[in-house]
Amino acid sequence: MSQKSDRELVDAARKGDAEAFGVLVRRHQKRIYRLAAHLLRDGAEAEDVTQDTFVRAYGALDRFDGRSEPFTWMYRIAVNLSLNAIRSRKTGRKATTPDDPRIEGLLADQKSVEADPARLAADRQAAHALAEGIDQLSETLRTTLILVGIDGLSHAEAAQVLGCPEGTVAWRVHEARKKLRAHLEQAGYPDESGKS
Amino acid sequence: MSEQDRKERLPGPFEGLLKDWPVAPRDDAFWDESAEKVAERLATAQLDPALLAAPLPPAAGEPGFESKADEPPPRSLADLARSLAAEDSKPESSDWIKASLSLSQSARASAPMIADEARASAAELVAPPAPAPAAAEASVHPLPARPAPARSGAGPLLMAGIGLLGLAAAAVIVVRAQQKATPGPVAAAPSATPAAAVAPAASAPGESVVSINDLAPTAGGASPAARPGGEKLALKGGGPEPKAAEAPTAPEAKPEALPEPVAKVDEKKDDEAAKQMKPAATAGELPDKPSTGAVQAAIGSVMGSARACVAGYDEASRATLTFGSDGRVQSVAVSGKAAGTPAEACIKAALGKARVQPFARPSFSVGTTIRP
Repeated sequence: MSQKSDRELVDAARKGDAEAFGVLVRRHQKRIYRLAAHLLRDGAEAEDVTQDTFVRAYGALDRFDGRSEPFTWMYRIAVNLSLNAIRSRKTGRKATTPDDPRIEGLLADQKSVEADPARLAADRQAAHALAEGIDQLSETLRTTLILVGIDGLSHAEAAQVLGCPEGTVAWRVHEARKKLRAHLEQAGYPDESGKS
Repeated sequence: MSEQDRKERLPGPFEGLLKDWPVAPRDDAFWDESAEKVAERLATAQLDPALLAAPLPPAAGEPGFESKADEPPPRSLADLARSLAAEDSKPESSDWIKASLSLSQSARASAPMIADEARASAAELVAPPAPAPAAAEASVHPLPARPAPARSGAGPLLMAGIGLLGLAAAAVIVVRAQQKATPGPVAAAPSATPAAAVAPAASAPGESVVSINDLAPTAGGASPAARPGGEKLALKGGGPEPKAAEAPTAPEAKPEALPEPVAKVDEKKDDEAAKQMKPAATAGELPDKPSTGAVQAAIGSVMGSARACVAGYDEASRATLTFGSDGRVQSVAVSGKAAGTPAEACIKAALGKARVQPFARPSFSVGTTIRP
């Protein structure tokens, strides 16, 4: 079962094979969670959105027309759910919080290879600067950058998720990077691209 | 790595940080539990169709998207009716609204009104903007696609008749109001000669007036008759000398007898009024200047001849073409190697044959390079 492609699993799930859908969940839940965590900046909300994404997707299997890959289709649901959650928050969240899963994840990853406290502190500061730069982007630029720059989707895949042309994705990523570079420069991380 | 990629790279370690940015790690037990929770909830799985729609609004300045913020708020009666139809849950009421929308559309088509807005609204009704493909299956259109309402019965026909009568009456009132506002012995004005009827209203001496009709000789059979009430259908400018200046009519004379006062709505007169309004629409349709493509095509069609003039030259020459508002070349100025040589006249003759469609500006100049 686990060797089957996403499309085969979706077809099986459509015919009522819940186990097939379970395989699909286990295959993609980490990725969906990572996407939701970056979009929402909240671990608990990201968990809810991840589960909700699969539940909603299961309810809409009949609507999956096969024009896109199942994972991009589920990504679209996850992005919509995340944006809905952000919009329904009573207060905006501008600053990064101590339990921001992005910072938490970055530092946990570095702790395993880096023991120097000074270096860790510098990394934490850099991670905060990067997270703040991303958070200052508009919803549209931020979401597109997360999909392409962080999640590693191709422009074509991101275009399928976002329902826009590839050129638009490229333009958004370019704009997002430009703004991010400006923010980092202002935060004391000068652009060294000319030196390399 | 391309130059573009290098320019877009984030400084220092941030590029690598961005690409491999992990989130807080979770152990296998967490994911197993999460998958089980999903399985438990599958029985109650439901989907809000909006979740399958394209998620994001366009960013400011984004290519290929029109900003909805720039759209004017609904302001016409058609918009109001449309929004009512979308809100109304009673099918019979929305059918009536739709019927009246289509009636107003047909009324606009039969009586060309002055306002462009009316025309634009009619166009909207004929071809409503299609929803984005991605959102088409999920989003709800303001006017859900329903079978066309049956229009049998006297109600809609009666309304159509009343609407047409009202529009006709309005047109006559407008025409008469213009007539009354015109000073001078209108009724006593000498009847215009056929030539004057074709020519636009005569201009004051020294006033350079270019007739729209002269500018648009192929504008879909629009009536060249001058508008009533002394309203000049003309643009001021330094274009070609208007034919009207030669028309044997007095400056104040009306080129065409104005409609007689009417005591009742007369369908024939209404048609005349509609015809007289047509040139206004034609004037609005003239482009301000010829399109780039049209200019390129026009020059391209004669460039071969122009290049033949400079065959054997070792340098390119430049020419500036000035088109008149009738689309013909008014003048050609040649500079560069060919200037002052026999090739100059040759180039002028060749480029002088270029033609573009008529436009509203008095003239339009464009430069081109003639390479040997």
